[in-house]
Amino acid sequence: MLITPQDAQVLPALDRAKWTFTTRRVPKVAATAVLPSVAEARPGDLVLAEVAKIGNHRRVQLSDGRHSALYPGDRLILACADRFAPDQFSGTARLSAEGSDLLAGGGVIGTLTDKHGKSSAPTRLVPLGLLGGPEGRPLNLAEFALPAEATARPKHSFLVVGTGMNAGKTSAAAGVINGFVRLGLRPAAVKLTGTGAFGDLQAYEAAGAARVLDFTDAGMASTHRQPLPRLLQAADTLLDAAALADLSVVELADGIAQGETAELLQSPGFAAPFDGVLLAASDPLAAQAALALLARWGIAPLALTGRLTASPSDAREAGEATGLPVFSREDLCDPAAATALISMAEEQGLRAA
Amino acid sequence: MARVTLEKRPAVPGLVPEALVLAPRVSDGQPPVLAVHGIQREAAEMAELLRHAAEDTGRTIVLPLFDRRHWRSFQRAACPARADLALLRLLASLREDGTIVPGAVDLSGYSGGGQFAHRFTWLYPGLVRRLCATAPGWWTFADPKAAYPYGIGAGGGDTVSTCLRANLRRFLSREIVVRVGALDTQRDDKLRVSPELDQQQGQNRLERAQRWVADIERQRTAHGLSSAVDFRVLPDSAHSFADCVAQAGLDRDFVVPSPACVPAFSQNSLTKEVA
Repeated sequence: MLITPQDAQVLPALDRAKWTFTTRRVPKVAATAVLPSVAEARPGDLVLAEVAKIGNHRRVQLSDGRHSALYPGDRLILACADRFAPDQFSGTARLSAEGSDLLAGGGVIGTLTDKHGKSSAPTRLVPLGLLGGPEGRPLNLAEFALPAEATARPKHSFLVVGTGMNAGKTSAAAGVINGFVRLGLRPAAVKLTGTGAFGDLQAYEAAGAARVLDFTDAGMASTHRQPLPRLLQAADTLLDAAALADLSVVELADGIAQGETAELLQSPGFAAPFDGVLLAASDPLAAQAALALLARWGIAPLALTGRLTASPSDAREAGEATGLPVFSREDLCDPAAATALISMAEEQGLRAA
Repeated sequence: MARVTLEKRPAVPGLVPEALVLAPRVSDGQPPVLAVHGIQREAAEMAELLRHAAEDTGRTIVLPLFDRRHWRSFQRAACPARADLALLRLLASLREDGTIVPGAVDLSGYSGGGQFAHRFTWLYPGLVRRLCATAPGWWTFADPKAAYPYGIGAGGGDTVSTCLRANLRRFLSREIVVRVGALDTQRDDKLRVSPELDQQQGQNRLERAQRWVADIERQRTAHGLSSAVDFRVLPDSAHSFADCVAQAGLDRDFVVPSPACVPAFSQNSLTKEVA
């Protein structure tokens, strides 16, 4: 199927399609053709697909921040990408004209490799083609990324990492953001790794972030299996884009032992721009194990946070075992805690100097 | 025509305290001075006594009024009603409407206001350029064995103590001014007394101020900070703001001419160049 270009108009084949969150930086008029070569798709390529059978995902996230329920026959614009999610699906950036899988509701299409025991089969999609540009090549999210412009950065940057998925990283990041907002500052929030989805960005925005960015702004639908240099470049691009904020709060997805997260944290230059690191932990033992791993990489978090703070006894145990302050999300929303984070970061910097 | 106007800003009950604002007719962008009353809530009297200082220095003076109903224990700053957050909200609203310039403020307090001022500065050292605490009844010491508000120990593991311990060095690096009347040696009914407090801090406000200054200077030395606390005993002055102004010129300590200073949170100070 080859649909011919239209000048500055949305292709009829795409006009009624649902543009998913991962495609949010792509102007609809950028696509001037639908190319049949779906088997050649690379990570980040834009895909027109039709819903064949509703499975685990019954709705998708749209590029304008709304959910949209799925119906058989719906046409979607998604991005081909790998996905890593131990509590749901993992999959590869590979498409088949016979059928592919909706790997993430934010708009990731690929081929399922494994799924969590409690997840049902993925929603099945039929790729109709790749979106192409005027030169007849597939359009890729990378073409619509923010430009890399090294200028200035916020004076303070804080990094939030976790012991695993659902350890409370995003809640903690939102708490930190809100604390700084209540202190009278304008923080930017950055989700640096993960799979494209608007939930985390909306959480940052709700907390008062003056600017919210994620890896889709750096041209990736998912950071899984992306090479380290590209992730480092994305970090530079996104932190540079946050330059007008007073400070930035950056979250890494998954646990610190996950492939790309571990690679980033061990990369010599990565941690340098950050004044301080917060560790979100699911429980006291996980906190201690994560601290030991981070210590091997030369990273000493300022404080603990995350799901363990829901249990006062867990929080106490973790604090006593590690000697670190333990902040719940509510604590982090306190501007006094935000001030203390800056102080702790300065103290750590003085000790390191 | 008066060179200074006095404006009364209404409260948002329980959220933002009422405030009196002494504003010079010509503002030259100096950081404001916040002057905090004692437990008598004598903000109006203080405003009258500080009018000349506003005229002489050209600085905007903001006098918040922490009413008894909503902020009974305001002097503890991080009290259950969180007077510290109320002041942050007041500052935000004053900045939003251009009454004060962005950036750090000078914070002065008398008696209970002195208690509030030193605790607020300790909680938010980045927001205060100069602290002037005058004749507080008692103080928070840099004592890791005593729980807040007596010290900064981990009593109960509360967040406030954690923050105070974290902020100690930045607090010590502020410009700290302490004043107390030479005759402020009475154990009046407004002075908190207990055997433990007397033992930790002394018998009266004069002795307590002397001990706190000594403690802070020890802490400064231990942290490698060289500057001394600016401490002066006000001659012929008892426990009365009016007395301290009349006898010893406390108004000139509360409100000093502003040196050229970079706002704490200006864009220039918050960005760093990258290669």
